Amino acid sequence: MKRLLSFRVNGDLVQIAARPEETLLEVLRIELGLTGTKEGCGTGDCGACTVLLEGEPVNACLLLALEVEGRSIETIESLVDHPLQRSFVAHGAIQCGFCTPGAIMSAKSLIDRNPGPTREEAAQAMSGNLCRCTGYQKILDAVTGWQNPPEVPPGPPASHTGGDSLRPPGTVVGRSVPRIDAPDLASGRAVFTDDIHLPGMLYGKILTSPHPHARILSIDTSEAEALEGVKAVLTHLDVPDTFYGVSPARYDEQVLAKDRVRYAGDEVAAVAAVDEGTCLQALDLIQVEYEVLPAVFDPFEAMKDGAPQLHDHPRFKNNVNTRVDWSFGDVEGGFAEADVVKEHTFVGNRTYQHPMEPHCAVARWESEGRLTVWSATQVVHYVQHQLSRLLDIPEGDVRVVMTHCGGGFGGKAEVNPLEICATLLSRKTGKPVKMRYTREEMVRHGRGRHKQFIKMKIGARKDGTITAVEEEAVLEGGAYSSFGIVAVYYAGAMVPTLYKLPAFKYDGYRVYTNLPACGAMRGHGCPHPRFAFEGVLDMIAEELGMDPIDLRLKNAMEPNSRTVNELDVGSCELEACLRTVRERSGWDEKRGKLPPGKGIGIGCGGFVSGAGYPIYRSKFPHSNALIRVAEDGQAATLFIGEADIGQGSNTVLSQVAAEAMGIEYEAMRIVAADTERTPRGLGTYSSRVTLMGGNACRMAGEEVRQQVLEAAAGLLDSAMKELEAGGGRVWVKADPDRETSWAEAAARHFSEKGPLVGKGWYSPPEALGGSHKGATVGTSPAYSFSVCVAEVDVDLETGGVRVTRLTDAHDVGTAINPMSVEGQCEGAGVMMLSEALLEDVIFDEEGRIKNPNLHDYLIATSCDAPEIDTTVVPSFEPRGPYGGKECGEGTTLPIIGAIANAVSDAIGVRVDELPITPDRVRGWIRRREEED
Amino acid sequence: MAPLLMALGARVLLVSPEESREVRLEEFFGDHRRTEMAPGEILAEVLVPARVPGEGGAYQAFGLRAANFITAAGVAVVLRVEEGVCRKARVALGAVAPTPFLATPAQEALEGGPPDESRLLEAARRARDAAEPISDVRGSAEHRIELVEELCLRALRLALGRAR
Repeated sequence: MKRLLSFRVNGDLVQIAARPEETLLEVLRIELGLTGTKEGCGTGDCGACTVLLEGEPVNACLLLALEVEGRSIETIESLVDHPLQRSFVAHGAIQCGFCTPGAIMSAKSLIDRNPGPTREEAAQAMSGNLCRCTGYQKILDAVTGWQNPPEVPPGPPASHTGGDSLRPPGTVVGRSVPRIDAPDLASGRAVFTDDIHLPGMLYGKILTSPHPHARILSIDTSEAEALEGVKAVLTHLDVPDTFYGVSPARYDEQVLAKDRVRYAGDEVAAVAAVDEGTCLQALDLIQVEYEVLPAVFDPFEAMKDGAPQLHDHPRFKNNVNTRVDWSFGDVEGGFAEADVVKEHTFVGNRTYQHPMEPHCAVARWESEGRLTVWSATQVVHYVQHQLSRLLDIPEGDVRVVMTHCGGGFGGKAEVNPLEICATLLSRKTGKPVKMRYTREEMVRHGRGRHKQFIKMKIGARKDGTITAVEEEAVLEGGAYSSFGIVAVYYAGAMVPTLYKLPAFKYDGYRVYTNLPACGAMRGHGCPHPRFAFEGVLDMIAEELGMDPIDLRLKNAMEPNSRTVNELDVGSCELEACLRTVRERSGWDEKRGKLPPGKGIGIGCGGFVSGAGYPIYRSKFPHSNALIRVAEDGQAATLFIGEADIGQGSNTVLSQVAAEAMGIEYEAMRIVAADTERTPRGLGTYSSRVTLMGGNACRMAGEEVRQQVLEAAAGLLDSAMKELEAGGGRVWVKADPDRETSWAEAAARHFSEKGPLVGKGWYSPPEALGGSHKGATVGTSPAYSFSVCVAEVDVDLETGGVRVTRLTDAHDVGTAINPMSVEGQCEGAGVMMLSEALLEDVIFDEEGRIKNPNLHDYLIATSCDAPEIDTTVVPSFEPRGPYGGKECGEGTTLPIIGAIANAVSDAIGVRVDELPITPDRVRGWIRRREEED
Repeated sequence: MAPLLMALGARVLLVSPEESREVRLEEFFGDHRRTEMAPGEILAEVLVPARVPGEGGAYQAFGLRAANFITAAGVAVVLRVEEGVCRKARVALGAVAPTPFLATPAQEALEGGPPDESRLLEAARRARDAAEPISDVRGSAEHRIELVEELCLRALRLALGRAR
């Protein structure tokens, strides 16, 4: 029974009817349409729904609506151009922006009480607002510096030296301009998928298996179908009988389980109804009869003869989903000539991306048989591709749109059951259907990081020169392939890119288990091998009595090298990164000189700037751009298929396009990640967007520039080749006073020749990589390099670890937007600190997740974030746009190794298992004490 | 919060339409997710005794991250010291048994004697022995038992400093 409720929202008196169980968050978002307040977890753990109740911050998801009777609520919509909002924008405190409205409300409550908070006070006040993108540094800058937001610093000096590939950055590239969408995100105006509400829209939910492995004997949906408000129920009988997945070589998933479920969470049926509550009731009424089968959760058990088999195809014998068997160079000879050989076993952790925004999809069929799907996805094209395959309709009839996306980190890099089921439910009902995961459902769907068991063996000469490396990795994969085939190749392929290895042997196994599937997560397959490699390197340094940085310098990759596994490294400033962190961290004064419990350690990492080959084979360019200049020449719109999921690509690509055209950044508009309106882009994964999208945008921009120069030649009575454009002006190179505005020249083009448009595309160089099996994985036009020094305080009695400082340096090529690059580095630092110390998806004996939430699975808060000192070293990548390459994933890869090595330094025991919990630290210390 | 209040000697006021009654906190918690509240009763007040001269207290909670954590083990201590003799000791443990509880043997190790280091160590050892934690997502039973001893010692030292 609904009851009348009256309260004040943002000063206005509101009277509505609310159900007793309805939360304030539901009332604000659904009844009142105040969608600036976000739902991140629904359990009061993340703070995305923070609003002020009588001035005090509260989680709107925890308050029943009826509790606010007669009281006063402020939401993000109450703030219009508030100094805090301006400060968040100017400080670069906004990445995906999903946590931003809640964070700003918490900050507002703080500054209303305490206008000049210290950094510690701000960190305390903001500790309930989880952020997965920023690493909190810039949020704390924005809160403490709210009264004096910085001006946008000018970029490097303008240079107008022509269009060759070595053209240095000019007026737009290299400038720390604010994100193009930051004001929308700070105001709560930005539309995320869950903010979309269509007339007549239904909701959908999925019934999943409670068993880790079972045969489905029967499904009875009759009671569910009879429930008031239910509009459609789907089982395997109603959905396409087509396998899908990520890699065509491993399509092993079905829309709804046909005869067997393979993990507790496998999809069995789907329901559409008038609201989510009715959907949940209907799910309870579906009767599924299961025959429970033996299950296997450990990859080593799963590989044994006689273990339960997850997939019947003979290629997956012994549950081995993918096997890699590589040997490059003379491995045996390399170990024979080594003076020291160290081998150690390392165990990683199964972690989950936990983007602040849960997955959500809205599907709507139009009368012409055409489909539109809005989704929180990183890859609109791959979603379009799979929906077209599953429905057997042309790609042109499937439009997939990402509006804003609240973080992904790889968890939204493949088509998901919400997109597929919403599409099918919408087709069946003729109504738009929205489906969203709860935080628990996201975790259960999985696709997080594979837990790796790694044996790493390194041989070196007395002078530290590495002679050979042998790696064995077993990846616990879960029930389906997802990105696993790529993960197990990356776990080996990227090892030889950091150091000059003359010989490398790799045995990789990606193994099916009755657990949620693992997929692609930031750093894809590489963090655990780097943790292992950097650990064994330190063991070698110790044995040789060599400084760990000296050992790394001795072996550091050099520019223009070919690795032993036939990857071509172009620009490489690893040595400069090593020297930078050595100096800035005070390494030489600290290493080996710290008291017990304090430690300092180093790690290196690096990543591809985009995969050299697409996920399914095609000859299509990987990135494509269109630019349309406004008729008056005062603005230009970039149409690009790549997705800005918070990493800032819309801003960076706009900067590149503006630079190429010769206009100011402020004139840029952007339409992105919409398969109907934007040309194809493969999306946001493998850190590909800056380099590949950037090159496409640059090419499109240069085509526009040429046309503007041509029009300006008439205006300036000069030859086109004598002209230059930049900063919204066109001038005669030999006589810069002879100039015209860019807009005027563009308008003249429109008058004389019609629309002013440019197009550009990018394909990676042909035939990247060697000819061995799996040689495509790890290929890239360019590689990034990163180094981190971590300093830790270990409480030797409790085992608690606190990372006090990260000093990191990165070769990302040209930093197209230095503030954004810094944000990526800081975010990478804190995310990986969190993975190193806190994170682990834990299962019970039945394969059910014990911590599918954000209070048992902890991620770092603002109070856990250390001081971070980030340097971007000078570098230029000839294959990148204006010299740029990636900074999203390589920046994560030195962190775990650095922290693990620092903790090892502090406690005198090799840290070889993640996460580094107090419990484990005490275990290591006890072991050392027993050995002494 | 509960161990802290328990160490302070707090009571709760339970009110029903028929009567109201005060219950000491250490008697309020029955078992896991069970309390002494009867049907129809609500918890109306928490009553905390005023601080007495010579009294000092401390709470040491251990969590897995720096803020907003669920305690893995917690020890709250209140001591009253008069003329070099510990007249009262309350040692409450949290998150290491189905309910928060008073570690009576630890209290007995302190009361009636001088609060010297050897007695603090003995009390911490007894607190450790009184703990009955389970292993869960926040740590193993073994680690939590270890934590109780260390946290108890730290809390006792802090409380003693404040009692003087």
